[in-house]
Amino acid sequence: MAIRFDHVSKTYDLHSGTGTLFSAIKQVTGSIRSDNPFYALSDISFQIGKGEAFGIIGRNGAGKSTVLKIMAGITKASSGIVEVNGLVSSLIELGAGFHPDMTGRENVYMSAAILGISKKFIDSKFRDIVDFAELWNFIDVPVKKYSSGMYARLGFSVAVSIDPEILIVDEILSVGDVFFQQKCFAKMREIKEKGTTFIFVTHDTIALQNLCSVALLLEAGHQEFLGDVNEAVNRYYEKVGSKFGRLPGKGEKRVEHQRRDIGMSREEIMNNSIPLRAGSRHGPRGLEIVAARIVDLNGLDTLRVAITERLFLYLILGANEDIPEPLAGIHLYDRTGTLVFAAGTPQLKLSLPSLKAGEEVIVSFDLTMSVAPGEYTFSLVAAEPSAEGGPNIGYFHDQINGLGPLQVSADYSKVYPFYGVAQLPMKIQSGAPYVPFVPSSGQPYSARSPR
Amino acid sequence: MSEIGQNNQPGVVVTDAVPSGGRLYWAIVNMGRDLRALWAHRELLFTLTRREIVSRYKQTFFGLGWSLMQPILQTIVYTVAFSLVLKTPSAEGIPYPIFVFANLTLWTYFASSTINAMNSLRANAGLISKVAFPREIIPMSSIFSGLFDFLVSFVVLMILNLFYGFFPNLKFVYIPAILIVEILFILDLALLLSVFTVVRRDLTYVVSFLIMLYMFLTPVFFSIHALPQTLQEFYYINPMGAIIDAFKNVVFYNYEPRWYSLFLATVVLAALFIPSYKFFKRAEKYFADVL
Repeated sequence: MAIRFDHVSKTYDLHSGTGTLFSAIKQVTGSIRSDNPFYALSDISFQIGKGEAFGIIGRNGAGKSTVLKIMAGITKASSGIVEVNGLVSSLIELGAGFHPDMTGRENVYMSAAILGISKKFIDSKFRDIVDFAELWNFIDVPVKKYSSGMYARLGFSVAVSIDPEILIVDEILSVGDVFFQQKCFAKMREIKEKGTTFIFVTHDTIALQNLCSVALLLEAGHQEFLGDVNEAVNRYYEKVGSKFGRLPGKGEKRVEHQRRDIGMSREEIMNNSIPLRAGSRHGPRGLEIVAARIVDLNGLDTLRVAITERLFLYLILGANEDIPEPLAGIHLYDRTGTLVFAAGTPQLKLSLPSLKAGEEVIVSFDLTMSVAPGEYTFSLVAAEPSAEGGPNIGYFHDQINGLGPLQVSADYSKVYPFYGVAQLPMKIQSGAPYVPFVPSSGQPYSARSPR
Repeated sequence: MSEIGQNNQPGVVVTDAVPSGGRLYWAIVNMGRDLRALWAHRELLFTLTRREIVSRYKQTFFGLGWSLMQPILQTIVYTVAFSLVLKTPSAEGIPYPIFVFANLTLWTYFASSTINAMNSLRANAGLISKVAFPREIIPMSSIFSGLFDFLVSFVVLMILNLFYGFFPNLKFVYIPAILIVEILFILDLALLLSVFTVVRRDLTYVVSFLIMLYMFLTPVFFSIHALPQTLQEFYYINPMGAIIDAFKNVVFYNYEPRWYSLFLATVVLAALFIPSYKFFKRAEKYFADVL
């Protein structure tokens, strides 16, 4: 076992800076407890096995960084048992130990020295470190002359090249360009495969689902959930944002909701609904997904569709309370669990009619499946806007996960309409044929002697 | 409450479990573990010491001049004020300027290293809140980087001595021993005071003032023989008094140091090191929270 937390709590004194010198020293030596403690973490227990990939998610201020700092030995738990087994390399901040006046080379050795790693070991790894960071031209330049990207590259490179037994990564993949990020991901997968215990903290739930199998969900210092990463992510989204009505923003048009436009009656949908108990279902259901029917262009109920063909989804949303601004959407996941596409009424800048308790509304989706052939699962979401979370966060009333599978097929005997994960809108044009002028000979092609 | 040690040691299990066994037994075990972690991080100590020396002189106009400036200027001021104006006697047979310069070489190291080490934790707050390592390395690197200034000052003293007709002698082999006693003294003070500075930053001013007061109690710019007999005995109990006296004996008189006072200082300072170090190690886990 690599790391064990057993009923760990961490309190901070929010009033340090007042009181007598004597009491301040007593606090700093742990002789007395603060009379007004703030619980950054309370009663956290988990175990991380050797070689396991463990994720930590939660909103800002949930205590994620505190857990990491305790693991890394930067700070100490106020109570409980903490056991850490092995060399910890923490990417809490890239290049944290770097000194601006020292060169890249000196800082590599410095970072290693901070971890108590011998010079000899770093000598043997030095080439790899600089290779990975792609900084051979700058390695003897003081790091204060580095760009922030170069700084981050060197910091990451050192942290992953020292063969740590435990690697702690805190939200660092937002640095650098997409190429560096991809390189980091590849490197982290490689490290994971080598059997390094891996602890990953991020708001990027897709990266989390990609890299980790088990996750801890923290909420205001409390352990909200510990277990399967997908479950943790679902619960996280449930937590994000509180229920709050919002006036429709500018530029939003209302969906035409005359019954004739939908072309599908309530009874037709109810009688042909796909089973909604396929996967997990979350939410308080103030707004509920009552039924969902999926048909193809020919009006047949199906979950099989040819590539770039359209699917029609009909949802019945039922309001169990007054919902001034209902939202509906669909999430599409590929077989590796990567979110391929998710959108709903807010993304299309549409707003649904407001609902009173007891009312229902039918919403139809017309989705062109321009995705790679294969199997997909999907989630259906009924939600309301959240004021707290910003425009990209909703309050999820009802979320049904793991529906499907949707099968997208392709005719292997023909050229695919595209390759890759999904089709992007693309136009190709060409002009009329013309004869280029060739400067070296001074003659156009046509004037050259024929073969 | 129990201990978490440094967990950067490969294969070391760090546990917060409440230990069984006697207090003294665990005190010794913990101290041994702390000292082993310190030893494992010795390269960090060298690197930080070097970093501090380099960053102090890089991009400065006077460069090395700064380490000479303070003792030289002080020597001039004290020579004019005490020797020429007040006719303060020097130690027997030593011209006043080199007598004061020699004392100041030791004293400046003591005073500036103590203050630097005291402030070092605050100065390195960024490092402390982001990476884990034995924190005592930070004040220690401050103390060791001060040795560089001491060395420069010492070389100047040797040159001045030649000018006044004092030559290096065999007793110089004792100088490292004298210096170790001084480092131990600074270390004891730094371990305690740096923790205080973490919680209350203005304590530096108080300590600066106390060090100045201490300079008058340890006569730096006048001879011990100017004091009454009873006070002279007290002078040799005070660690800096013993250190300065030993240095004077070696450098100017080609004598042995006054062993009993040096030995007494060593024993007291070594004994003091244990509680200071334990106090520091106990407080260090909270540095990241407070800084």
